[in-house]
Amino acid sequence: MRIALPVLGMLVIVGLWWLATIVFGIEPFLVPSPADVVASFLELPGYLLEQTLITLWEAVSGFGLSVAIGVPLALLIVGSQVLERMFYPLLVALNAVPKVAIAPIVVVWFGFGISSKVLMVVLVCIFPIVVSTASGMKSTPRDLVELFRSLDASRTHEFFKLRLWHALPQIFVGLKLAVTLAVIGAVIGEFVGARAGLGYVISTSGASADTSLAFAAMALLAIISVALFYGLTFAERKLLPWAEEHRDF
Amino acid sequence: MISLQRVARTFGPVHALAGIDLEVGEHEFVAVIGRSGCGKSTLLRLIAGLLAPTSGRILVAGQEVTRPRRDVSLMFQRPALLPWRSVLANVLLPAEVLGLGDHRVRAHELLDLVGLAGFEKRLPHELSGGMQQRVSLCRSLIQSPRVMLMDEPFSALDAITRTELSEELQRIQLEHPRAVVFVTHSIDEAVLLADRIVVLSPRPGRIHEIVDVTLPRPRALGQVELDEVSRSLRGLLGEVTA
Repeated sequence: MRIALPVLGMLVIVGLWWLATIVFGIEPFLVPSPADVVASFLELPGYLLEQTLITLWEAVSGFGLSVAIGVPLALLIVGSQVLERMFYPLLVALNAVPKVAIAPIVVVWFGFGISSKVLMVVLVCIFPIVVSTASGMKSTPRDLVELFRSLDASRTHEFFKLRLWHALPQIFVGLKLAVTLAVIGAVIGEFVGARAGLGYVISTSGASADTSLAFAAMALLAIISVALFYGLTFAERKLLPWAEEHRDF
Repeated sequence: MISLQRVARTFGPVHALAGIDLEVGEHEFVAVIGRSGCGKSTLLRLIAGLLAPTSGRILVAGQEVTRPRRDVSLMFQRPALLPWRSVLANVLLPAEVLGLGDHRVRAHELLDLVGLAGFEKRLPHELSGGMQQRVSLCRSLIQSPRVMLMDEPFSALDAITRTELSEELQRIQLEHPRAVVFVTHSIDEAVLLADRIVVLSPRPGRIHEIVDVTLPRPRALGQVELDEVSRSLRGLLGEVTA
């Protein structure tokens, strides 16, 4: 049932879509039928898979970098009220800036290559990671903190034997949110200036009215996102068998 | 072992405790009872070094308490286990944090003592509430504390488990007596376990009366002799609220 139901749901939607294109006689350059989309993928399978891997790599490396920067940043914020007061509002402000608006500047700074895309990914990913880590660490139950205090535990022990562990389920919520944003961030970067990647495929195919190809690229993007999201869900289940109650989504 | 001298503690305008004088001997089990809000938990946190008194002095083993000590352990109302650690790893936590070296043999002995042999690798959420609290008891014994502070440790348990655990605690105290301050609102528990029972009156928390319980051990719940003490305690608690 766990696999059958989502597959069934997708088949229903694809079926309705197909039916609509036939019944209403919609032109393929407006809305292609599922068959058109599959056909345009089969025309260029090697090329599309290559573009998929490029976008995937941008998203994953940007995501990895966000974790590597975001988690220590959250530790600093939780560890020091001064740092929190100094930098937390700045972080919120940074998150409030529309990433689409920053993208052209980022491309000017870092060029058309992969680094501008990775930076875009970091910009969209880092906020949920920092917030979920910091709030998870701050929500450590009082009696557990008191237990550590009663053992005269050092700050390092309190952080790494207690708070960080306690935050893990919440960190995973942030990570799952961030990983889907990562794909969006990579695509924004590619839209603005790139020579490769699925976002580039979509923007060029739009210009030549090859809607089926754009749809194929979008389907591949969706597959990447789903794979990354459920990959993390699976990792969480394996790594945190104790955190049953947090697994709502 | 523990000495409180004219101890008072305020939280802003609230007087939680005032004029507390109390001596607890090296092997003495002292129960503290009183209505909720009479500063029982504050008293424990003061002795534990988690709070500083507003005035007065607290000594443990002759030294003034200024911060938590490694020979004092604290046990809570909730088991307060770390959910990501196995039973064994939870019991070993104090030894690890205090840097006491390998205590695995002792941890196994303690788990044996409370009937949890074979559960070492389980995670806390796989255990019942009573078993979790037993793990918590083992954890507070692992560093061989000279003073044990217990904050209503059995109050969240069902009646049967509660009885079992109080009897186990009595056994442990008989085999290896230490200084214990045991906060409870159960009169029966206090009479079963304590050498002396401190009755606190609320707002500000003061010592209303200290009752000596001289009945021989081991005692059993439901024993007729205990009832008499319970009755007089009930009377005292009645005075306190009036």
